[in-house]
Amino acid sequence: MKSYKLTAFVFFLINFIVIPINAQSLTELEKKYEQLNSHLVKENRILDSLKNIFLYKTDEIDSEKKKSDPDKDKIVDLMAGSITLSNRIDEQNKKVNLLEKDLDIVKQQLHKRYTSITDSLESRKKTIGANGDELDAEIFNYTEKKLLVAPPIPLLSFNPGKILGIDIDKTKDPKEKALYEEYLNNALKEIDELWKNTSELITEIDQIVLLQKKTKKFLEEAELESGVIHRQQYNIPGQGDETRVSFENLPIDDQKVLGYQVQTYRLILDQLDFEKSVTGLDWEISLEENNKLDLKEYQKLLKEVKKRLQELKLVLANKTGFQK
Amino acid sequence: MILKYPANLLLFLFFPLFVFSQIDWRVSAETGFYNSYGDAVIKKSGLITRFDSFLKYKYEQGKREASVQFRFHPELFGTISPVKSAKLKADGAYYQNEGNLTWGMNVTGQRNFLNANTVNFTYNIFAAAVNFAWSDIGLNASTGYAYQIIKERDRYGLELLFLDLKLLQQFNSFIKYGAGFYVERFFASNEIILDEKNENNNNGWRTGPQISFIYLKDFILNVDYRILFHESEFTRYLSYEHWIRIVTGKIFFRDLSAFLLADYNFYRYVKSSDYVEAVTPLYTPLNSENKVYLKIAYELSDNVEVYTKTGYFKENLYEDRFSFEGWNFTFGIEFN
Repeated sequence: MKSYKLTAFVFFLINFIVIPINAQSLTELEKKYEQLNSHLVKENRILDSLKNIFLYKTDEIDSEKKKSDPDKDKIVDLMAGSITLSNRIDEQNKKVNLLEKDLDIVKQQLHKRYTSITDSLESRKKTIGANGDELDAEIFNYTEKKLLVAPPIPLLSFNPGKILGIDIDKTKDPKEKALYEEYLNNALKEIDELWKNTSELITEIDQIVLLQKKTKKFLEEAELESGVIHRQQYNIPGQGDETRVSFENLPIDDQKVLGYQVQTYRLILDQLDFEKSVTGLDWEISLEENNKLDLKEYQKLLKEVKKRLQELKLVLANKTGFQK
Repeated sequence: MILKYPANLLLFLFFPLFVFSQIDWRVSAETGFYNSYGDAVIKKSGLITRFDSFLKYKYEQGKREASVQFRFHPELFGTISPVKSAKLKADGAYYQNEGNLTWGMNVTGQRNFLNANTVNFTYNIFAAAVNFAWSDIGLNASTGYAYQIIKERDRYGLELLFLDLKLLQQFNSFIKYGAGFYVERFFASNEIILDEKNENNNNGWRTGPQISFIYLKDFILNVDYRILFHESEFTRYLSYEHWIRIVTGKIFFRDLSAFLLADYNFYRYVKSSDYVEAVTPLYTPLNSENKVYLKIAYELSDNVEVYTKTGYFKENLYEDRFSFEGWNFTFGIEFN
């Protein structure tokens, strides 16, 4: 009896201390997100107005230059002012970029937290059975929050894990059956399209990797008698070998596009990994670490995604086939 | 815990996790026709037969990579008492990645033999370099030592220390461009037999800028250009050399590929008044071959490839004293 009381007390203590700590840190994280977001909005406004002033100044310089008798002193003054402005714009740009990076990190952290909360709420809902209205509201609330911080990329719109649980044969209600039918067909369409896109991307990357490999071999053959010194740099792994793509050196838009592409496929793989069978495999393409992507690693990731999509396609085709 | 089990420790030390080793090999044989002119050493035209064998062992452990590779490349020019040539090459390399920096070293040795009725000479090359590549800023740096020795009746030697810097930037996902600078301190020497053995030296510098462009997506296009200015005891202002290389290639229908290489070297030396023709040693670039080289290959399977090679070449081994020029067309098969 005593041990029962002790256990209950410890449990109470844990609930009392640990849960508020978690809740508090989530609140803090949310607060940080809010602050960073509003800070970013403010800094972006400053950047926009600086750009507008800069445009106004350059227009003024142009119109002064076009005059038949331009005031050279005025032009010099205006140009000096423009240089200062341009420097301020550069600084402001850096500030905005830093804030965006910080915000992305907080978004990722929040996304993880919301996912784990919704997961635990789902499992709690399962254990307590039908009495889950309050939980539903909570799940909905956190899912909504999660979507707000989710990366702006097209992920799978359904839960692949749930598809396995659908058994249309057991459903007797025709309306429910029709709903499941539509759900499965839409999922199949989505998977099929994603599978096609992944296949195209794999073909493109395969081509680049193969072309690189063959060029290296061709040069080795052609240069057997000469070019010893010039070959030195070709020998650096990942350097002469152009399969390593650096995001840092890309223009900012390309960095984002490629970065999101990798992130998309990593997240899709996470979604497809509903049984966590690939846990332990290193799909971290160290984007956060040093913004580098090894094309061969990306190729490997895409092949894994394609394999899993293929498996899911088979399951879905099978399930949609049952209903017909 | 590990120390209690020395055998485990040994296993841990010698067979650590994430070790990956790979052997890569290929052999090929080709035959065709050649037509050459410019030097009496080589037969003017006839059948050319080449063999090539390549073996590479690569060892990877986490972010470290070591490799050794060997190559043997014999050639026969003509059928009856042919001119024989053989090239032996060995490479060793070690590289390590630390975040944005990849650094390493490599050593290359190459021995070339050419044997004909009247001539028997060897041509040896050695190079040792330390390389650094900072991927965050796109800077590649290579520094090292190299030498070449040509021996027949006379002996021609060239030793050099070099520093090669190149800044490569990514324009977009498929285009890279770069610029850099090359500096070299060279020591040219010879031992020639006139009435008696005569030794001569000429030391100098080669410096200049270089630019490059790489496109890699559905086809590859790589263009490199370098201009180097010479300063030595026996050359005057303005002595220089140009080097331009264009490499392009495409894979058609996955099995068929075509690659083209064009190398153009040009050098102009303004000789000083105390220069003595055929006695004073002048710098002869290690990579002085002008060539246009086209290879079309078709993969019969993953391990067998047939190919044709067409090329124009002009080799200047030493101040144009050992050179030959010509065309060749070969057809070959490769196994890997």
